[in-house]
Amino acid sequence: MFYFFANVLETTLMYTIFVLSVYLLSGLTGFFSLGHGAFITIGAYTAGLATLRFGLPIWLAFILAIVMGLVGGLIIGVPTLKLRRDYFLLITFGFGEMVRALLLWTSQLTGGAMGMAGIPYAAELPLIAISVVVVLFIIANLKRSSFGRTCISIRDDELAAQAMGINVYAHKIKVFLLSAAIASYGGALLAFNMTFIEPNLFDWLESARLIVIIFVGGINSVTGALVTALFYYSFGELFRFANVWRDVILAVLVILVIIFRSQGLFGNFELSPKWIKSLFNRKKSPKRGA
Amino acid sequence: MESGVFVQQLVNGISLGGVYAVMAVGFGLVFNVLKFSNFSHGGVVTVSAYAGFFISSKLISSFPLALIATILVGAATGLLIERLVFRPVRLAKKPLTYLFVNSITVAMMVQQTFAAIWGSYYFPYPEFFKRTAFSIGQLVFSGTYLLMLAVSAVVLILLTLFLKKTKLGIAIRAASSDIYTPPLMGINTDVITGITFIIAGALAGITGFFLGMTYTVTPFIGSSMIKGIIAAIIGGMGSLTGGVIAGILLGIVESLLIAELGSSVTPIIIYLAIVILLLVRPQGIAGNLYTVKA
Amino acid sequence: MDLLRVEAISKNFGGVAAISNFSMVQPYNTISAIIGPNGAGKTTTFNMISGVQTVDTGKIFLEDVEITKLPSHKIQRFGVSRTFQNIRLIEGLSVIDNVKLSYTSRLTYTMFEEFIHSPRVRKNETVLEDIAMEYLEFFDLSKYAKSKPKSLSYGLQRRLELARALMNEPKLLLLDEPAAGLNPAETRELMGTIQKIQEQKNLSIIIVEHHMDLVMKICSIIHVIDFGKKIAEGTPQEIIKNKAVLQAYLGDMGGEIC
Repeated sequence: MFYFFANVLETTLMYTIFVLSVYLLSGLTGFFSLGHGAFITIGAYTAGLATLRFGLPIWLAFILAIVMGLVGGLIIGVPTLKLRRDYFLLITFGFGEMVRALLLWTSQLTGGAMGMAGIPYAAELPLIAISVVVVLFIIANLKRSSFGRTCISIRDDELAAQAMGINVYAHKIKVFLLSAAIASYGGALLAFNMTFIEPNLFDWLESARLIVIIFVGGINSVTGALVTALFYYSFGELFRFANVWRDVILAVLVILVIIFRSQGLFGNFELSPKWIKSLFNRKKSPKRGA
Repeated sequence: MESGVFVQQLVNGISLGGVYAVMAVGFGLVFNVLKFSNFSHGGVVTVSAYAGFFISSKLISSFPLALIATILVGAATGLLIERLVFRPVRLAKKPLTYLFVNSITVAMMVQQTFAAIWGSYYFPYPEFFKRTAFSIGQLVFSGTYLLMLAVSAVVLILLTLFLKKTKLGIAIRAASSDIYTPPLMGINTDVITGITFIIAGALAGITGFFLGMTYTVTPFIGSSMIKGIIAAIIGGMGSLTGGVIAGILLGIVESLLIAELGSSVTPIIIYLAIVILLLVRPQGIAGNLYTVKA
Repeated sequence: MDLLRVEAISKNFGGVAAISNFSMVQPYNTISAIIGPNGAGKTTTFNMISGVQTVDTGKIFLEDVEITKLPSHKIQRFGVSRTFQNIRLIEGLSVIDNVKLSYTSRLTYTMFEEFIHSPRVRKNETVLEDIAMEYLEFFDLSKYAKSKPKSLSYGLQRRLELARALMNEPKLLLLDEPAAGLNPAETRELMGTIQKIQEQKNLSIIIVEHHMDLVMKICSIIHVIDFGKKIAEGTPQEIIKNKAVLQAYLGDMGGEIC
């Protein structure tokens, strides 16, 4: 029983890391990548290959996964981030499909459509939990400092941001690389947790889901992305039989949120030490102010 | 490749390209008028593919009638999506990204709903014709493919005539440059968007029917939309003609590459070529480069 | 040395000459204006000076350094700030965060320090908040610091754009139709504010405007453009009497000149 719940938690938390990586790119900076799964897959396969075919130690596999994610991000990001948002969207879509096709083709190395099995089980709950906390910490900190403000300005009005002295292109690259690195790290976690990976691990639909979850939570709220992700993925794991219906519900929910409450369920709310303290203040003096 | 195989593959490629062209135009039309990437188009394709299957296997066995019925289903679905999902967002004057997010949501919803209900079934379209292949000399051609090509060509020609000669069509073209022109012509913007989605939906209906006929119907059939989107981009966003040319080119290149190099390498080459093309010439074959006004 | 020197710049849009051969000189500590009928090319000129649009021919010098080909973010860092005709505030940021934006390039902390919100980040942020608050107070906006720009009235939004432009401590301030949409009382207030800014911050200001009232009263030099070409330059008194100027304006706003 414990193992079942531990599994649910592990999967939920890993997917939450993916959501957070997409939050940085799409929620905060307004760039949509339907091929983000490519980085997750790159991370997973790098980790798998590093340990299985090259016998490298786990910690090195993680580092390589991140490096490969960064490389992929550079290759795609540098030329593409100069273009319009629509093109970026479509090129990343193409990139995602290309990676998938590449993996299917190089079946000698990667196992092709049969996938890669036997990856060591090296990512257990403690590691995953710590990873989520670290990623959350980083992203929350970025959001409340100049980096985050710059992201939001680029999202809302690139021209104005540039006129305010921000090197928009350079910043987009930073965001994209960071997002890719987090995603590929998560991919490595996925590989070491599920011990079996295949090219269809993260297709464009899964990437779309990540984006959709963020819009439900609200693009201005990390807390929103976090909570929605936790709910969505744990629900999916706990009620596997209703898996596809879960998506239908999510879809309807997103559409309703966008039409009626476009700032997302959480709006601008952020869970912070200040807010928690204010809860206690309210409890102490219930009749404060008028 | 010997010349016989080459010709066959070429003809097949052109037919397939015709389908891609129809997809590209469906996607591009909405993009031109409403300025967003409408991923729900794939959803309409899926719905049409299933509808076409049910119609042709249970209700109408004649090819032309089944096709027309499916086109109607596609058009209705397109309009329904526009009214329920996109119009409220437009009316609330939200930024275009929300339209895009809603569109991928619809695509997701369609795929998952069909997967939930009929996920484990493979639906093959019934045989419409007794003789599907005919030969000229040593070359064998698929009648079905040629029929698809013929229908695509007719549809695109009709569409061109509509856009160039009818008041509504001209209004739609005007709307591509400026969404506020049609009201000046006496046509409501709502009507324009509605018609655009009806046409796009109809095109998706044809696409769904043909894809269902050529391959089998699965919930993932809408994902073939990517080919149409690719054609639309290569053709140049803003130009439907470009999309048609690109679609046909894509079909030809794909067919020839698959015959020569196999179907596992081909996607890689195609995607790579597209990425490079977009980097070198982002406006595609015939599109416009948009600049933002300060 | 002049603060800004524009030498014969031109810009073509697909065959249409938006601006041809425009030249001007902006000395230090001066308020000047570029005026002209609608579509004359005023905003395009601003866009070229601030780097938002590329220059086809000609050169632009800021303190004798050529800035013609520089992108707008580099020009901003040289000390040029601008406001926009249709207010471009960042809706997703609070009022005070909007102001902080133009100081971004001067912050000394790195991305990695931001990951952990290091003490240096914390200190920088506090200083930034204080400076931004000062600017908000100057414009009487401090009580809106944490609200979103959307909740402010049009006049207040214009002030916010000004505050944001000033936080960069610019040497040259470009105001694109700052009085657009303001009523006469607000316009008078704006005139006072612009003069106050100029005196206190010792900067040079170029205004693009239609409101002749504003321009005549506070500018010392006026450049007039029509159909992309410069047709006159001089003091307000000289410009009023200039025949070419009156002719250019007769169809558009003859009544507003005096």
